[in-house]
Amino acid sequence: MEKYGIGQPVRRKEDARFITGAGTYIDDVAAENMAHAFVLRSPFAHAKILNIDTSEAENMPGVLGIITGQDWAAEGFATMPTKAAISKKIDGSPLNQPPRHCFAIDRARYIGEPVAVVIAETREQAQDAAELVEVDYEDLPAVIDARKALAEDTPRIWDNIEGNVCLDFELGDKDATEKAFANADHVVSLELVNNRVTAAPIEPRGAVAEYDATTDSYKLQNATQNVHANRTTFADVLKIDAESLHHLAPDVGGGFGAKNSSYPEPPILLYAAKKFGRPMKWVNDRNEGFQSDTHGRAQFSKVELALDKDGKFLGLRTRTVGDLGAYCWTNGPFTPTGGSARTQGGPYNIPAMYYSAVAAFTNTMPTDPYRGAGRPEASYQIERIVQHAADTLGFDPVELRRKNLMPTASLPRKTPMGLDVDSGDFPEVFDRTMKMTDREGYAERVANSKKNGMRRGFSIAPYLECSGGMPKEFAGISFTKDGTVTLRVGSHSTGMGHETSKPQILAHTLGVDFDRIDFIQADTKATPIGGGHGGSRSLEVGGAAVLKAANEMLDKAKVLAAHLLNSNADDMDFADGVFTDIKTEQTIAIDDVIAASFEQGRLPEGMEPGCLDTESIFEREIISCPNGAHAAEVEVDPETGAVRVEHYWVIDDFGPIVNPMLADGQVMGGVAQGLGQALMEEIVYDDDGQLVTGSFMDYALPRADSIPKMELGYYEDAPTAKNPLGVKGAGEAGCCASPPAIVNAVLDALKEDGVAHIDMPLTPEKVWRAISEAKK
Amino acid sequence: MYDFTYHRPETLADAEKMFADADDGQYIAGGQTMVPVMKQRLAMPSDIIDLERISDLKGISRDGNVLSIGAMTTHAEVAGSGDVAKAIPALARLADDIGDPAVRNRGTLGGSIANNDPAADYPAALVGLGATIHTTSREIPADDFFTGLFETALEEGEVIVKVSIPVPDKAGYVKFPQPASRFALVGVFVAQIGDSVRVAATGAGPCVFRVEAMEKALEKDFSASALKGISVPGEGLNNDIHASADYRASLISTLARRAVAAAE
Amino acid sequence: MKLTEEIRIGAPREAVYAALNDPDILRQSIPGCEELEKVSDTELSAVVRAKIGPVKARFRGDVTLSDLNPPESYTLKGQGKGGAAGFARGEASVRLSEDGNATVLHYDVNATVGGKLAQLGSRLVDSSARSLAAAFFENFRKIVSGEDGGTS
Repeated sequence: MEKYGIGQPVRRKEDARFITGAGTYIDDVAAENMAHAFVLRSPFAHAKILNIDTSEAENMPGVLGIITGQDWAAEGFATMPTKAAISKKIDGSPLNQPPRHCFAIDRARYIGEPVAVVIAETREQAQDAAELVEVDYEDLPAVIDARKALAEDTPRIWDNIEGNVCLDFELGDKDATEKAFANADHVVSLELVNNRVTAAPIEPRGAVAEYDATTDSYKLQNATQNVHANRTTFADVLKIDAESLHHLAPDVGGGFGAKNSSYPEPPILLYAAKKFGRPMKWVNDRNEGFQSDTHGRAQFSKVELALDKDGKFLGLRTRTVGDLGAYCWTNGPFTPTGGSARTQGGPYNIPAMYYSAVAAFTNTMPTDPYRGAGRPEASYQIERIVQHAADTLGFDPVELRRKNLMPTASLPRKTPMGLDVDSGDFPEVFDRTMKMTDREGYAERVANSKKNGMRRGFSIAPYLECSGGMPKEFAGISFTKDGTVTLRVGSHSTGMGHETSKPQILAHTLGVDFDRIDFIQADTKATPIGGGHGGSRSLEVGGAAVLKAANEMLDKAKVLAAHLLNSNADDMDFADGVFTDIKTEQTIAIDDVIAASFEQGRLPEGMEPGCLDTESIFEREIISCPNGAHAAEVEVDPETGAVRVEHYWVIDDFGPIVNPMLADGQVMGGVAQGLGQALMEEIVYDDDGQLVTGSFMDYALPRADSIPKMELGYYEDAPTAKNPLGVKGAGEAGCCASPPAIVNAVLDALKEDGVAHIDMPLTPEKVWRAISEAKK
Repeated sequence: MYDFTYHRPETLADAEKMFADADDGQYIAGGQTMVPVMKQRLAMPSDIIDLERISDLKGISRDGNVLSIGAMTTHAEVAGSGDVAKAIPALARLADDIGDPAVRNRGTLGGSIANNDPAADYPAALVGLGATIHTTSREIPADDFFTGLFETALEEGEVIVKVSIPVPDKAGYVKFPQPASRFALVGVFVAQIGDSVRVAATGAGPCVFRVEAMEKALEKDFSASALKGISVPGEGLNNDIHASADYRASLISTLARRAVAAAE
Repeated sequence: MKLTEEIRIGAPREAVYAALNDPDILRQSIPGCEELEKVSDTELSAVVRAKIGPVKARFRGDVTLSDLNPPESYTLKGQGKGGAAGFARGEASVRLSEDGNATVLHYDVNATVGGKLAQLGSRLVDSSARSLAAAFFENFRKIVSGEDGGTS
C-alpha cells in the first residue's frame, strides 16, 4: 500500500494506454450510421454576409444537407451565454454582451466564425461540397488592436456597443495608492504586452452527437474539459431539458482552459443529429484549431511602482486593456478584470494597490481563460516592474525582491487586492531557490559566455498566485463483491494524471489495492455534478472530495467492522487498511469488511448490501495560494538575437505533494508553456485582420530542445487549512513564473548593451533589433 | 485531400510515360511538401507518380573527387553516409539538421531541390559546392538550376536522376532556424575548392543566391575576419513575420563568418 | 504587401496605354490567366490559375480598370476567390512617362491574400506578389515591344 500512498511517485496508470496508441480520443469514436459535418468558416475578420447560395453544394455526392446561419436563426435557438465571474461594470450596470449565436448570421466578426455547416456521408464529401457553398461577403474594416478599438473614430464591431467596450473594472484602493505615489521617492513605470497565444492542445476539438427519437434524448461525446457546465449551456441554447442530454468526454488530449469554453460546434452537431436522424461527427484539423480555439492573454498594460529611497515598495498601479475578441466568450471578460487583479503585486508586501482595466472587442477569435487566466499576466507585470526598478534605480534585483517579500510572520493576511494568503514562507522559498542556482560559479559562466561572444543573464522570479475554478466537487465510491472499487469524480483530467492521483488518495485512505480501483470521470450520467477542470482545482477540490468520500465510507465501514468483531465502533482504530479493536486487539482487514458488506446475514441492523457505497460533495470556501520562486539563467547571442535558456530552478509551495512525479510534470509543462509565451509563441493577425499564424509552420511552440534541464523542489511545510489535503493548486504555477524569470534574465544579459525592455515574445529578431537600436 | 490516382513505377521509363499520360500529373519523391499541400487541398493533381521504387535514382558513391548522390536518396541516408561524412562533412551535418527524424527518413535530395523552397537547405549546399544536377535529359550546373521562387530549370516532366558534387577542400554550413518551422530563416554554405570560393545563401531571398563580394574576399583570405565589413543589402530579401529583410541581411553576414570558421 | 517598381517598354506611350486596356494583351500578360472576358469597357471577368511551387489554385473573379487618365495613368484592380485556398486581391496603379520613343511604366502594387493562403503561406505572400507582378509587367513589356514575336 505504501507504494501507492499519498506522497509516492506512482507512475501514471493512464500512460500505458496513451503512449501505446491505445487511448480513445474523439476521432477514435464512431457510431453506427454516422454522418460527418464540416464547418465552413469566415475567411474575413469582419464582413457582411449578403447571401449564401448552397444549391450547387447540395447536389454534390454524399451531401445530406447544409445548415446556414439563416437556417439556425429560423429555429429560434438561444444565444451562447457568457458566464464570466465578473459581469458588471464599475457603475454596477451589466457588461455589454453581444448576442453570440452558433453561426454568423448576417455578419461575420472573426476569422473562423462558422458560416455554414455541411453534412455528408464522409468528411471529404462534406469538405468538397463546402468549397461550392457560395457566400457573398461584403468586406468591412476590421479592428484588430484592442487599444485602437477604444479610439473614438474606430468603427464599431457591434452597432449598439459604443467604443467597442465590454466592461470596465477596478479593484483596490485608488486614493491610498495615489497617496503612496505622491509620497514616493521613486516612481517607475513600464508599458507591457502579454502576447496573444493559443493553447494548441495536441488533440484538436471535435465531437460525436447522437439523438434517440424514441426517448427524445441526446448523447454528446466531446473533446471538452467540462461536461457538466457545457451540458447546461448546450441544453439552454437548444432549449432542451439538460437531463435529456448525456454529455461525456472520451480521453482528451490537453485542454489548458481552451476546452472549458463553450463552442458553437457541439450544439450545431446535436441539432444536426436530430434533424438528419443520424449520429454526427465533427473534428477540427489543426488549421481550424488555430482559427477557432479560444485564445489566451492578449493584454496591454501600464504598470507603475512607487518606492521609498531604500527601495521599499509603497504602491502599485496597473491599468490594462484586455482584448476579448469579437464576443464575450464563456468566461472571457473575467481574465483581464478579476482574473488579473487578484494576484497583483505577487508575494510582495505592497501596502497600496489599485488595478483598473477595460475589456475591448476586436475582430479576432475571442479570448477565454488559458492556463493561469490573469495570474501569469499579473506575475509578469510585477516582476518586470520590479526588475525595471532595480535596473533604473540601481538596486540589486535579488536583494530588492528579497527585502520586499511578505514576511512570514505577517501571514495569514489579506492583500490590498483581497487575496486571502493563509500560509507559506516566501523568504524561505526564495532563499532555497537562490541556493540551488550556484551563484558561486556564475561569474565564471558569464566570463565563458563572453569569451564565446555571448551574453549571460540571470533572474529569479518569486510568484504568488491562486487557484480557481468551480468550488464544488463530487466523488463517489462503490464496491463490488469481486473486490473492484469504482471511483467516480466530477473533476476531469485531460492528461494531468488524475487516473493515478485520485485512486492514490483513495488507496492511501482506505488501504485498498490501487490496481483494483476503476476510475470514471467526465460523464454527466456518472456524477450528479462536476466542475471539470480549470483553475488548478482538481486536487484541492476534486482530491478533497475523494478524501471526504473515503472518510465517510470509513465511518460506515468502522461500524460494520465493529459488528463483525463483536466490538464497539468507538473502540475501532483504522490504519493501513486494517481495523483494530483497541481493547481486544482483534483485527479485520478492510477487504474483508467490504466482502462482508455484500452478505445480508453479516450486516448489522440498518445496513443493507452495498451499504459502503458512498457519495460525497466537497465545497471549497476559499481559493488556495500556490507560490514559489523560479530562477532562470540564459545565454543570448547578440549577433543573431537567439536566446537559450541554459538553467532553470524551481522551488514551489503547493502544500503536501500527493504524487511528486505528477507535480513535476505539471511544473515542467507549465514552465515550458511559459517559456513559449516568453520567447516564441504569438498569434498574429495582419492589418487586414487575416490570421497569419494558421499552422505550426508559423506559430512557434517550444520543442524538447528549447527546454532547459530543470531542477525542481517543493516546500511542503506550509499546508493550507483551506482544504483537507492541505494542497494548493499546482497546474498553473509554472506558466506564472517562467515568463518573467526568462524575460528578466534576458534583459539582465543585455543590460550592458543598454536594452531596457523588449516585449514578449522575445524572438531573435526583436532581441537583435533591440540591441541594434540601443547601440544607436 | 482530393481524389487522385496513385502510381508506383519501377523504372524511369514507366514513370515518364505515366506522367505524359496523366491529365495533371505530379511526381512525388519523399512527399514531405507535396503531401501536406494536398492534405490542405492546395493542390489537386490527377495522378501522383511515386518515384520511390526506382532503384536507379538511389544511392551514394564517390569517384575520385566527385561525390554522386541519387535523387531519391533520403536526408537520413545522406546524413548517415560514411562517404559523405568523409568527403563533405558539412553536407552530412546539413542533411542531419533538416526537419525531424520522420522528415529525414522520407524526404529526399531530389525532392527538395526540385521543389526549391526558398528556405530549403540543399539548394545552398548544391550552389555552394558548385554541384551538377543530372536529369533524364541533360546536366545542369547548380548555378543555372535554381531560377526563382519555387522555380527551377526543370522542364515539364523532366526528372532529376542524381547530383554530382565536387569534393571541396573545405566547406561549412550554418543555418539559423525559423523558430516555428525550423526551416532556414537564413542558411549560408561556404566552400573552398582550389582557388575558388563559393558562398551561397538560402532562406534569405526568394531563391538561393551567391554572395560574390564574400567569395572574392574569401578567395584572397579564407578566414572569418576576411568577411569583416562585407554586408549584404536588405533590398529584395524576404520579409515575413519571423524576420524582416534587414535582419536577414545581417544574418547572412553573421552566418557566413560562422560557416567559414566551421569549415573543414 | 506593397511594392513600387518601374519597367521600360520599347513602344510609344499611346500604344502602351492602349495595350493596358486590351483584354487580349492583359490575358496574355497575367501569369496563369486562363480566361479574361470583357463585361464592359472597364470590367472583365477572369479565371486565373496561380501556381506558387506545389500550391496550385484556380481563382475566379473580376478585373476592373479605373482612374482612367489616357495616356498617362490608370488603376488595374483584380480580385478572385480560390475555393479552399482563400482569396486574393491586387491593385496596380500604373503611371506612364515618355522616354524618347520608349515608355517607362511605373507601378505601385498593393496585394492581399486571405483565408488559407494567408494562414498557411504568409511567409510567401511578399515574394510571390513581387514575382507575379514582375512576371505580369515583363510579359506585358515583351508583347507590347514585340519581343515575343506577337504570339502568346
